[in-house]
Amino acid sequence: MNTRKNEIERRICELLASYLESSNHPELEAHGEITGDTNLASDFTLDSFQIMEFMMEIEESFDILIDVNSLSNSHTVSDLAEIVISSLDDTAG
Amino acid sequence: MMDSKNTFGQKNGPEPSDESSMQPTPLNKKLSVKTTGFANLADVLDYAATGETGFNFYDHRGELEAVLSYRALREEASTLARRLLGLGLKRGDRVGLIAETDPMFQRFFFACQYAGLIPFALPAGIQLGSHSAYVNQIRRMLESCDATIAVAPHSHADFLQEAVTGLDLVMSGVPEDFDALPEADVEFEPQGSDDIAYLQYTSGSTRFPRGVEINQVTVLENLRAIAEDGLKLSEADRFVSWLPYYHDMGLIGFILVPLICQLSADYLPSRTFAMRPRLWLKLISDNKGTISSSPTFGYALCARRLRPSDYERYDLSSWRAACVGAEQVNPVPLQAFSNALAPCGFDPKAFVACYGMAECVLAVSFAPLDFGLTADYVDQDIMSNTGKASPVSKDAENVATYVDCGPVLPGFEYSIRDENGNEVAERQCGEILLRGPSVMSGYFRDEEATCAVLSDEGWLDTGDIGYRVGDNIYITARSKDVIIIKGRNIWPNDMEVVAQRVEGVRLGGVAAFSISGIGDEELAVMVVETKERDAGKRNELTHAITALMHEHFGINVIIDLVRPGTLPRTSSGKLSRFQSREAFLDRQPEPALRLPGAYLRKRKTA
Repeated sequence: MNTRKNEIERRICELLASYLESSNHPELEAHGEITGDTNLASDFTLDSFQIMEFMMEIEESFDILIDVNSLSNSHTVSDLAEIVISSLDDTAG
Repeated sequence: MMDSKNTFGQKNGPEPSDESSMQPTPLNKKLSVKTTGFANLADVLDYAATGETGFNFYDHRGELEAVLSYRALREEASTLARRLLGLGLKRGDRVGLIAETDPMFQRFFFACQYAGLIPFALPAGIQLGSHSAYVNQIRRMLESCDATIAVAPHSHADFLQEAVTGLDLVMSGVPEDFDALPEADVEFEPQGSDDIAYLQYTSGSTRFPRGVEINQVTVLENLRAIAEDGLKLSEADRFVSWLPYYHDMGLIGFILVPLICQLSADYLPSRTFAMRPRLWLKLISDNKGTISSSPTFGYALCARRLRPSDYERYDLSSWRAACVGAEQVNPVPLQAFSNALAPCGFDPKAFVACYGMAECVLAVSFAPLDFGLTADYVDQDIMSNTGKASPVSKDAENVATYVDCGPVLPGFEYSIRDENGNEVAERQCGEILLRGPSVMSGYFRDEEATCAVLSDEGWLDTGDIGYRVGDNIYITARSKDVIIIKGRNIWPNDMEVVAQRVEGVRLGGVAAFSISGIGDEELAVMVVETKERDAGKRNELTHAITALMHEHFGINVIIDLVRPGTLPRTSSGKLSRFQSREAFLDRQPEPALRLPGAYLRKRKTA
């Protein structure tokens, strides 16, 4: 895996950790470390509104606009990183 | 802004110079508000098109993206109607519209009104990892009413294409595909009062979609009642909404109600609201909106995202009716919302509790305007055991709070009955039945489901439980089975079917229901029978079910694994959701989870 994706994944993991902390999710400790394989929908009890809220934090942090429909094929932090990369490339292009 | 090119809602839309000059449609300064004397919805649009008002679409940044005046809508919809008729469609053919907040929806909805076709809204909300679940849902809905046409905005084109593969549709595609069709040289044949105006799917039910069938006369009557009796609308009113068009509150309350009063409406996409709820307040503030509604959770979501700098930024003093409906009205988060926004001029008296359902078009009752919420504090134990709403002080130990949803709108008759069909006394809970001119004619092509809820005398069994004080209605539990999470109706049956796909889950060994959690928020629970004893495998099982529930329904579900044979069944071997729920609650260490409506739910499912 290339370093750019690694870096983006790492940032998403941090954002997720701080989002879960701020929304007071007890599962966080139980689940241990957040990694690229962390499944956003099943590893935490985030509902669809919370997931959108988290997407907004990603948008703000990376200064991108996420195509929300692309989320329908995303499950993990790694999938999200791919979306962020393609949004960053779109913005640059 | 009458140039039709500007009204298509194309994301790359008009020239920059046009964009900077784009203005939302004004208040109704030209027409006298007229809500009666219309023969059908096309007629309603024809009249509104003589004014200057219309629909305005705001983008993800809260900036005006497209304007669709009623005048332009009438032009575009009637042209489109001729194009659709050129396809050789029969009167009454069904047209499925993926209902994104986009001018496309109104154009096709009203093209159907002119052409004598029946439109219905398909859901547009997509969850994380939900690709195949969403496609299947769309396909089932198209199949269930034998649709001939399906239309999607560009954002959903691929999903639609996948959904219609193998279906026998006359045509499906994006709006431009239809705009390229030749116009048929036909005179429109006006819709009669008993012609079906639209179908409304009542839930995201994936397996058994049921389309509520609403006739022209039926919808016109409810629109009139909402406008005149419920909200007392006038020329000075302006609507603001983020509600999805595929929900009755979005479609009826915020497209058709403003239209029938020739008033302007401003829209924010639902997803934008979910991500940036404060844009809702900004839009109300900027455009001096007077009418805007949400289920309780929307107000709570918004309050949570407020920032201190917001208080100087927004002026919400124009907001005169903040309707609360769709799910049970919960006064606690609403109070938090109004306290937080008091510095912006939000008046807590603007809250209007409402009760309604798609089977009655939209609205059944409104609490009185300019009163705010009126809570009734009753003894929770007495309520649970006898269904009697016995008043206690607000600070009593076991208090349950219900909100006054007002008297039924003129035209409706209501009856609250016990299990034997006898009218109950004041302050006694029972099943709510309704009769009147805005009750549906039935579920589309589903006689069994129709007969289950509509009596020969025209009474609709709402499935809702409530009591009355005088003639004011208090709802204590929504439909016997349906689970309402954040305004969405989810059928336990659908959840159970999906869960049984997971390996290790016993067929027929799943029960889903809801309990009330902290702050009376509804929580979904699923009890699952499994033979699995290995802790790691049980954990995997829980994970797999959780993931599926997210993919299909976008909700959190509390999963409780139990040994086979644990779930209670009726004498006929049918699983009893109610008893499963009781047993689940008994297993919990915290008895406070008990729902006040327990007694009634027991009676209903027994």
